[in-house]
Amino acid sequence: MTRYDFEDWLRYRLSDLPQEEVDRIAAFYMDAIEARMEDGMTEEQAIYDLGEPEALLEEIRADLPRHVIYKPVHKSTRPANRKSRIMTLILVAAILGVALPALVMVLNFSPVRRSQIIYEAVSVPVEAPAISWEGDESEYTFDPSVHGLNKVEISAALGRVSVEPCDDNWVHVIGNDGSFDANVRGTTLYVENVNDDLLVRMPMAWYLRLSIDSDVGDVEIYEITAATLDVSADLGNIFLHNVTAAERINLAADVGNIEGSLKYRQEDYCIDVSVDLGQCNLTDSVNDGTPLTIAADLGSVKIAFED
Amino acid sequence: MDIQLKRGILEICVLKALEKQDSYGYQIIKDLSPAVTLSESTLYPILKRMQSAGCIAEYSVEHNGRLRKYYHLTPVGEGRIQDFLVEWEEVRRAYEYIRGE
Repeated sequence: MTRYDFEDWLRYRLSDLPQEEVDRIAAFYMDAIEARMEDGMTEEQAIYDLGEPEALLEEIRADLPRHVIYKPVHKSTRPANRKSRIMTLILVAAILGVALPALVMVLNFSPVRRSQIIYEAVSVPVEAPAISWEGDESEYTFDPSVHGLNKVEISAALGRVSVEPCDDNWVHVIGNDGSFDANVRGTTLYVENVNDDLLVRMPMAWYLRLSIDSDVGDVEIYEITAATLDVSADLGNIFLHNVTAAERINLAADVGNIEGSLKYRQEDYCIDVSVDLGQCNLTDSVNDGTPLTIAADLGSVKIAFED
Repeated sequence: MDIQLKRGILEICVLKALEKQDSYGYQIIKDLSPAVTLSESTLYPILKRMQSAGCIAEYSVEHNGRLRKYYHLTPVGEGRIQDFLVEWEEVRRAYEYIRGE
């Protein structure tokens, strides 16, 4: 391993930390390696002298403020023994002379626990995203105030990307466990290597830039007001539901349609639309509104405006 | 040794290493090696804490095409060393009492 490989590895393993902190730590260790080389060690000896990399990483993180999150480590299911329940229902109904449907309704509302999730406490640096798992799903939660986030950038190879608002002050990234990577680098939250359906919930208290690049799959955005909105779909449709952005909106679909509604009036947008083969209900306009650029190669464009 | 106690002692050692002259990471570790064993992963957070506490200041000097961070002991840091020496007298007296001499 060269010292540059070591630096790349260190930066990658610390990529959930604020960029400034990563730069400081990387510079510190690079100087440590080079000082040892000046002292007569080879590059390999100098890196070895730093200590075992994983242990080193653990020591670096050990000093960061921590909080505890809970991760499910065991999920057991107690079968409800459906057949005997039905037989019991019939018998009780017969004895009581009660209408069976009424009895079924009552019993279905009674709490019968079908599964039990045992949680393990996991201590993580407070600057890292809070992660929780529920069954097969992962939810990564990011606090814009901690990370200084101003942008969310999503790159999806496969699957539907849905974006909706949430009431709390966090960005939530939810999808099947292992089907995406979510990391903060600089002031941007990168959601990458998405290969299954993904849900991103954006906090309405924060004004964030949103960029979505989808290869195969639809993009659906609900009730979001972003700072900027850039959406590109290669083999999928783009659906917008009462969406807007303050500075610009760019929508591009190679094969699919672009449909839905934007907030405010059509006159509030400066429209530049380009549709090659499909139909389009919009025409270009020149005014002082928010730039709205729409490009559809094969599909159609149908956008309504909801003031 | 209690980890907090050890951490406190290491911090004072690092400050002492900077008393004579400004220094940088690896040099601090070398200078302290006769007295204490220190690694970069232990030193880095110490330097960060001491800087936050105003005990040291950092500055950069160009070295072989890179910027090397140097650390400088401040008057606050000097005060910390002196406070430690006074407090340690108390610890020494307690140690003598416990030892029974």
